[in-house]
Amino acid sequence: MRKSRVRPRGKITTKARRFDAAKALESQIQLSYRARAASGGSFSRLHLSGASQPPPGPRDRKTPKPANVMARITFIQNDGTERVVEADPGMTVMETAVKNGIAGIAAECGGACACATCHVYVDEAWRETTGAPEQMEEDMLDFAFDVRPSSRLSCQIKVTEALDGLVVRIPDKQF
Amino acid sequence: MSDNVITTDVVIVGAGPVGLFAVFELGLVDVKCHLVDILDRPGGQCTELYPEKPIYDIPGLTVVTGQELTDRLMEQIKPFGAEFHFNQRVDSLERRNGSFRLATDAGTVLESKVVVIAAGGGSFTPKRPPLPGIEQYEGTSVFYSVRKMENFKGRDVLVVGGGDSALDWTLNLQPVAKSLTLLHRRAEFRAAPASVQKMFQLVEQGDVSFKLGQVTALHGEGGQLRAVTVKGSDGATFELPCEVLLPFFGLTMKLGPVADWGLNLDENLIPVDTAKFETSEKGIFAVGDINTYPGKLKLILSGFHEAALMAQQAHHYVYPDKKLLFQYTTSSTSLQKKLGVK
Repeated sequence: MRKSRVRPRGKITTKARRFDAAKALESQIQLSYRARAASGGSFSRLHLSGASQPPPGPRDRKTPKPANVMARITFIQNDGTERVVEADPGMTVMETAVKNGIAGIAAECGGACACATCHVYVDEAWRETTGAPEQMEEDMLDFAFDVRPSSRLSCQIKVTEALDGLVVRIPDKQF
Repeated sequence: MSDNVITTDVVIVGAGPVGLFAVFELGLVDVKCHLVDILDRPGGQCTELYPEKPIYDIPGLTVVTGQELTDRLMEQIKPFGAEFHFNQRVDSLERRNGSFRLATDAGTVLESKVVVIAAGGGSFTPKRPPLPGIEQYEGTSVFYSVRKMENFKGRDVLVVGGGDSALDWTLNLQPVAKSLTLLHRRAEFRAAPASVQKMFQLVEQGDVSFKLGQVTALHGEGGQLRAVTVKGSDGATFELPCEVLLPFFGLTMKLGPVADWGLNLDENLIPVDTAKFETSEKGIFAVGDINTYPGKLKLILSGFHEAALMAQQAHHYVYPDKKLLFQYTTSSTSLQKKLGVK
């Protein structure tokens, strides 16, 4: 007799994506998971932020930005530790985190919007600029823990110049 | 449990792209395979995580989706008649008299001369919500799958989630349970529309209770759950009494029992040599994402290469007295016969 599994009739994770396949292809990052894994890439310089004041919002950023850098992203861990990293426009926030070894972004599926292990909370000041999740991402957030109105999957946030100064918080656990 | 032992040349643990291509390379050298996979279909991560996503780095294929690559590999290995054991996880592996005996959690027992571990990132297992103390309730009050419906008879059951598993078990357990509550963070569901409709029908009839919110704490003692704290969609918290909790938050990859097979491990990866891709145990090979060696890249194409070299040594173990003649599929009549093209 076939055993009852987690998915009695299988394929939870695939249904939503098949449904949204066309949209997914359109909105996805252009490199495949495995191609990216291979590329390695050079590491951006790291900045350790010692400031205790709240991170700046979209309009009140004070520190000047080096000419060759398009966007800086602040990752705040659950314990309050912060790291500011430089992000290349066109990459996703998840890719930026992984490239810089930010803890707590598991990104198990490599950016396919298929695992919800790159869950972040977008800082209130940045919610409008980053926008709301699309249907597929909202569906996948069902697989995340402690989902809040500011929840996003960081693999679905593409870095643009407009996101220079973005602040995201990493949940205590991704599961 | 079955007393029938299946005997074969090679057991491949994992039916992802690399496990599938291993069937091809082994098949060319007359080695027969059985594959075991915890998922219900071939393809591993390719079909479970990104069936519709384009892969751009398979040699010769400008772009191919995870599902299409899997379908093509299944077509390519057809001539070799490998047998698949889906929905099963290999739990134990032991060496006995020059062969290996593997047992799955479904009771299948396989005996082979060679074992090939092509388990990728590990086996897909249900996600455990990071709720403090959840471990103490697992197996008594908290379940990630339903093995026996009778276990839920006459109990107050709380199902959490919005996918097919959550909806299917809501519908299936409702007639058995004393009470059934479905908890989900929003009123939209990813599940099959028919199941959602049926669920809301049961809610209307008063047979199922549907609540919006997320579990934040568990309450109970001695492994027996009494209630959970729920944070509602408005942010307010409330307690929900229940004896059984079924959280359905999808799957994650865990190394699983491979860790207990006595192989050398390096941060959850299996070190291998780069000539044969053999592990620290003679006759046990590891190919694809699960292995590690200097310069390793977790690419499907690397796994394919590893499978080809592994097959040479596996042939030697299966046919110790036969000399293996290296041949090309383009020109070898015997290879073409095996492929059914001659």
